[in-house]
Amino acid sequence: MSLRIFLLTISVLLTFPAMALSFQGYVQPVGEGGTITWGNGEVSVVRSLEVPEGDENAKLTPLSVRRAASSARKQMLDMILAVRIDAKRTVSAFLSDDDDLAARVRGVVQNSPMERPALFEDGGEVRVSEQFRGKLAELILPTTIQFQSGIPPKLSTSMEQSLSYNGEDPEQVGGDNSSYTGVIIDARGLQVTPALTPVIYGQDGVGAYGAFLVSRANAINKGVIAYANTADPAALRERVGNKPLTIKALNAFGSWRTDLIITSPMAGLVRAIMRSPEAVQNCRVVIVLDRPEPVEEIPLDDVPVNDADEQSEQGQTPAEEQ
Amino acid sequence: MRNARYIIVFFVVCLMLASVAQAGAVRVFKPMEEGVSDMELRRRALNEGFALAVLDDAKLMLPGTMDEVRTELFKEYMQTHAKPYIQGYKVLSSESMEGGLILSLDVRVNKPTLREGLKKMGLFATTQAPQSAAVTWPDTLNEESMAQLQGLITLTGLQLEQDVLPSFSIEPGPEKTFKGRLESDKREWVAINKDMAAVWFSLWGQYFTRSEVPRYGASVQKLSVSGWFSPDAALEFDRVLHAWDSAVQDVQLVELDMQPTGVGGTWEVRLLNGDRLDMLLKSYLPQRGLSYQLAEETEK
Repeated sequence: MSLRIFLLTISVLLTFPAMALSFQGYVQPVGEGGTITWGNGEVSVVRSLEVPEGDENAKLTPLSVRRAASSARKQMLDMILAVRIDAKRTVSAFLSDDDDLAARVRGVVQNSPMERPALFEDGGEVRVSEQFRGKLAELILPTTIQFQSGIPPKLSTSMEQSLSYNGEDPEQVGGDNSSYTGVIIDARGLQVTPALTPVIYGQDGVGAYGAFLVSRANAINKGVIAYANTADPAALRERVGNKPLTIKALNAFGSWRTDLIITSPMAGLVRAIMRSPEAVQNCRVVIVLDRPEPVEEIPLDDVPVNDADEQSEQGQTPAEEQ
Repeated sequence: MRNARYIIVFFVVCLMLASVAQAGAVRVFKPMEEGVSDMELRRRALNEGFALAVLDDAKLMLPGTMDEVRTELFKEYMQTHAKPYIQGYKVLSSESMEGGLILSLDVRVNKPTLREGLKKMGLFATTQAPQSAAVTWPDTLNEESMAQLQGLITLTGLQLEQDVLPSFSIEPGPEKTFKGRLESDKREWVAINKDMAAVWFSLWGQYFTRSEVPRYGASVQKLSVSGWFSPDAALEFDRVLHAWDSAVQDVQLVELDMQPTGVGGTWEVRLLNGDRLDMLLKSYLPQRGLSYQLAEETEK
């Protein structure tokens, strides 16, 4: 290996450590060629380049690249708008009140990184990508969310009675929990919808983890929560550390099933773990979801885009938070 | 031998990148002084931390460098005047020991405000070339005030000459105030304050921000970028370019060219650090399928 290649490799690894090391986690296919990688927050769309049919000598042109890139970015914008911020709203609903902010999000998407084949090749694909981190997250995470307030949200009714738990006895809160480095919440089989700022509730209806514990800066740079499709601690070590606590979620909550309910003792344990600055600053919580069905697609057209939709959406369920 | 070379290079790269990642993080040691309470010591350490953070950002912004004496004066001045430039801070660690206090801080500096502040202080102009000026003071000025005035002259980067404009004069006013007067070829300004530094910088701030004052040495460049498919993207890049304030300043979008083949934009920028701009453009534009051209523009 030449010194030049070695230096280039090291520089790339060190300059983009998050990209180099980040685990992909739960990869959700959306629409044609689109995926949301909920481990590192990447949203991407791959679009084939169209070369005129029947012409053996046809080559890629700037126009064919432009068509493919524009179409891919349009889809990526739709995917971003369709993502749920929390139980109450989507990105689209949040931006519907603020034209300037919506234009900025469009600008970020239109400026997204793009991979494409060299011009005058026979064909290929265009891939555009953006991340629910950094600048995009700064724009789409509402400033009205009370990050790091320390005040847990509360459900209007306790879940103690409605959700029985027949699993193993939970570990005593206040015991030796200082060695846990993070939390893995197994929510497989609960049809959970991924969101940017979900809340983990105890059965007592009190929030155990969510944006109320995390600073806005950490939420922007790391994501409040990561989603994966394996509960193997070794595979999730990068996010949850060497010794995570694994918890089985009792149920999903909310009209879009974005929030989770865990037992009250486990909720207490999660709160205790999150008192560690290392754990809370690195948002060391992963929710494990089922592997997506091969044909699963989120119909983008079904997403509510205005306040009226939001209200009707919220009206489907009893008041969730006090 | 070859492996050893790789390891050395690896560590050098690590150190370089670590220093980039730690931008905004400062570490201060304040020795314990007799009669100084713990709270006061902490306050002083905080102020020194703010001054250091502002100094670090100022060094990146300024087109020229300040020598050691001037750097020290800048730091000293900022210990009492940095607060307008501090957006927020976080105490990373605080370690009290017998000899004093070690404070590690993560300080976020408000760069646009600092840039304006540095302009008013004249540092954008005088880190490139000293400013000729006449400064006069009465014999009645006491030793302490005299030392402060000399410090301000050095910090601002004035080269004292007689019978030239601009001409600055200072005299003690009523109730322990200072009255300053600054005269340029076209205008005259007067200020009164108990703080000599406030008088000094309010007057020189007027001078250095006049539209007719010769701009600091940085050249004006025309940056043309093409390859977008939407005007929203060009406007977003305008915001990105404004944020690269350690490389360019006075960013102005002068043309947005919308053709069937794509969208292009042209900006006029005042170049502070060509290498940095080049690095930023190369790390941002090509991966987005964009190309650019940079050409020197005739100074306005």
